[in-house]
Amino acid sequence: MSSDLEIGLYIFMLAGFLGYHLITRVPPLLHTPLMSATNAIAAISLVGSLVVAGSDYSHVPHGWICVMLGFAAVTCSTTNAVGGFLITDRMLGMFKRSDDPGRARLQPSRDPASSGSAGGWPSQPHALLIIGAAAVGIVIAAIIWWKNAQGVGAGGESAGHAGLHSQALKYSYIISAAMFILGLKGLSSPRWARRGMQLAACGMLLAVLGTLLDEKIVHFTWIIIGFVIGSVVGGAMGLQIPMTAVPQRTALSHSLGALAACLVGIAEFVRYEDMNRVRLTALDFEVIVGALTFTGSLIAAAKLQELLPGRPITYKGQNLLSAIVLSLVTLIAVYLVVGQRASPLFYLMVFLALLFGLLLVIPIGAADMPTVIALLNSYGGLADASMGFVLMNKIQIITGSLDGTSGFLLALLMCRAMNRSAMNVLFGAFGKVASEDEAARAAEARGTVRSISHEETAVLFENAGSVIIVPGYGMAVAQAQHAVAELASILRGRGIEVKYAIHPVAGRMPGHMNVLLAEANVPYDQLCEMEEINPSFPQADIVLVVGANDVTNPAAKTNKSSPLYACRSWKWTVPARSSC
Amino acid sequence: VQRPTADEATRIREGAVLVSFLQPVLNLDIVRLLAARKINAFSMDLIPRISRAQSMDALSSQATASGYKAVLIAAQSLSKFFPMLTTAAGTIFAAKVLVLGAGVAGLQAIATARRLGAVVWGYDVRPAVKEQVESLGAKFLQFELGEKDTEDKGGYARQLSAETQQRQQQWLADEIKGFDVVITTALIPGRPAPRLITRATVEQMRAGSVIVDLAAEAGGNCELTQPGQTIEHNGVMVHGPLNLPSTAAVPSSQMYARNITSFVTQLVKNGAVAIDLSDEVIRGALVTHQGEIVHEGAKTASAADTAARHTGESA
Repeated sequence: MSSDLEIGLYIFMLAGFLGYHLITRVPPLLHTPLMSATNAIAAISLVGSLVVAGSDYSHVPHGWICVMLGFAAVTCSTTNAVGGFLITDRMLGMFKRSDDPGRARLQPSRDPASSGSAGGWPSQPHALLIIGAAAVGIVIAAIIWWKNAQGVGAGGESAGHAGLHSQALKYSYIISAAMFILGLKGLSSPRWARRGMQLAACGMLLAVLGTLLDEKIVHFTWIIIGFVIGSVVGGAMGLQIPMTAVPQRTALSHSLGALAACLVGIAEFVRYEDMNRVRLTALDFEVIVGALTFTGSLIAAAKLQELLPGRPITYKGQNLLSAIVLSLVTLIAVYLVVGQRASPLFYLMVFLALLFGLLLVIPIGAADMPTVIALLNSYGGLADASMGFVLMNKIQIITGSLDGTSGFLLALLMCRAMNRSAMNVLFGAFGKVASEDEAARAAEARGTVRSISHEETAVLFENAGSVIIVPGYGMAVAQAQHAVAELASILRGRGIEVKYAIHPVAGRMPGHMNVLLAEANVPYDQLCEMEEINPSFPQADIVLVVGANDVTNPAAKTNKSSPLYACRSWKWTVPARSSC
Repeated sequence: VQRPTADEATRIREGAVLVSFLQPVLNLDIVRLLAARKINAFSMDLIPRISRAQSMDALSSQATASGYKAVLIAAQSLSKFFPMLTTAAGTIFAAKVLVLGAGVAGLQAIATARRLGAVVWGYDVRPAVKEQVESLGAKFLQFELGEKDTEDKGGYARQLSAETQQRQQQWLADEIKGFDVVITTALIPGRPAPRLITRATVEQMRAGSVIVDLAAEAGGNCELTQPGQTIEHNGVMVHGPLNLPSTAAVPSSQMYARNITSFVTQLVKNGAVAIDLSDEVIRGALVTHQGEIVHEGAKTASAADTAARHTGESA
């Protein structure tokens, strides 16, 4: 046991490092898909759920509770897995370079990844999905049939076959772990991201199938029902949900994954066999983190869906209350571990953890939600990992750790991309919310600014059909007119339409931009004045703003305290920034 | 465009709205007359320099024309080429142009001179302008003034102390010697133009050099400037052109018309004139309203003037 634990810890640590390194390479452009992907991978709790749901509880009192909890967990995590992978795939489909640009840009292709057989035929996604699901069903049925056959013909041979099972299990886990890692690695570039996610989905499938071989699993009824319900719900969710609602969906499916982890933990607790302290600690951790992630994610989803007001909700004594709840949870957890006793206090702890999740997310504003979701994701991963310790299931340790670190790092990266400090996001609303209304409204109005790397910019430009360049005084100061003109001529050379939008007050003297662009040999007919070009903004793929902050600032239209109020500003669609 | 004469002012209907270049501080008599006639007079030169009012900023739009034309005048009367030309008959070196005062007119002059191929330097007392001069590809003459706050909140230059002015003159005298063309555009709102170039400085310049003084109307940046005339002193041409925008009448009128249109659009609501005093732009430009002089500068100047007269009478 102890050596097992040691190995588990090593795995946990190494997988954590690996997660860190994989995620640092992911460009901010892919952060949202990454979030969704790690979320889907967090559904590895499915594996644990399977064991719980399928185990033989005949000798355990209240065994049916365990089965029911396991069933719920299987349903939840299947939903999480299927929905997560589908949505990630759809999202990545939008980044796909396509030979027929009109369709690729406007309509994300929807080939299903979860079926594992997804190639590149987006024409009949649903049919393909059904075929895939059927194939998976057949495989599962085959496994069940085979296992039953083994069970019937038990006798003397069963020992040898059990060895075979566990071997198959081990190898399927190793392969699927590798697939997860490669899948996450794929996300470091839009080009391989999709392939990577499909690989990860295959890995998940493999892990699940491998788990079904586990000799602990003997009952399949509830597992199958859970699979079917979960797949249908998750599939529907993954295919139907509009792209704009992705963060909510991620949060929601995430809460399901966390719920699964929590439920599995409870089931294990109910079963309560030979728990040593280490396992119990892991169990406590799993349940607490799972529970708080569950409620936290629910709140996050509700805020994003605007079921709850998006601005930070604060009240007096908030810090105190949170602190009290948290310390109570900790106290009970410690008591349980020390006492090593099955105590009803356990359920109180679960309840308090649920409450804490609520308290944790409520004060955080909607603008910071993506970051919070990433963080909750990481909690979910940690819950998975501790579930892995409880069940001594290595793939769960690997995946959980991968997910935990990557989620955490992702949260940090997102903070940095949004120019927010992590402490600010997590605890900002806990303290005094400075000029709350103004700041919150400003934050919401601003939308999300993302910084993108040079490579991503290049990719964006490659795929664009028309580009509008908005030069400003910044370009003049940097004497960047030649660079801008060069870029424009390269783009023109590739058949991309380039126009310059000259704001009437751009620069420090009338005609400033004209003088400079003329110097860089930009033909006059490419220069458009504001009224002329405003209608073209909605059709433009990229608006490149070069040192023209104030004329593009939407606050000029809305914020009365802005010095630019009522100054005409660009009608503004796709803000793309670049540091030229 | 220009302010009305006393005769014209008396002929304006009472209660009418007048939009013009009044320069009220310098033209108190006419302002008083307008107030007495209960004319609501707005002065385009008083429109505050905020972003929203940029479309009404006639000073800027007209200065654009002045800056451009000033360079053409200089190029015309300079006995050299502006650009550098390397030919089979030897190399002709580019003319060196110095632009003093980098406001709108100055910047436009810099841009225009650059386009003609001259080597252009700019100078201004406001250090922030360095960046703007360089953004047009010109070089900035650096001079340690030893004074801060050289810029007022509207972005115009402030008056320097006498001592600093002296030092600046000295330094400029040394610098100017090397230039073929000097275009001066330095103005301080509500005051005579700063004296940047003394007679002695002009006498040090090469024969054939040209000075174009855009501040001629406000007394000139050059000691020798005769408003509205061109004089020659030791072979140096000194131009003191007045109302340069009228020499580029079409674009100037076009821009001025745009300025007036956007200003009047602010004045008129639902087809009737409605003077909204809460509007910063309107309040700023308003000189006389309902028989009173409301513009702060004009009011104080008027009071001081009246007081001075009283003392004069009693003495």
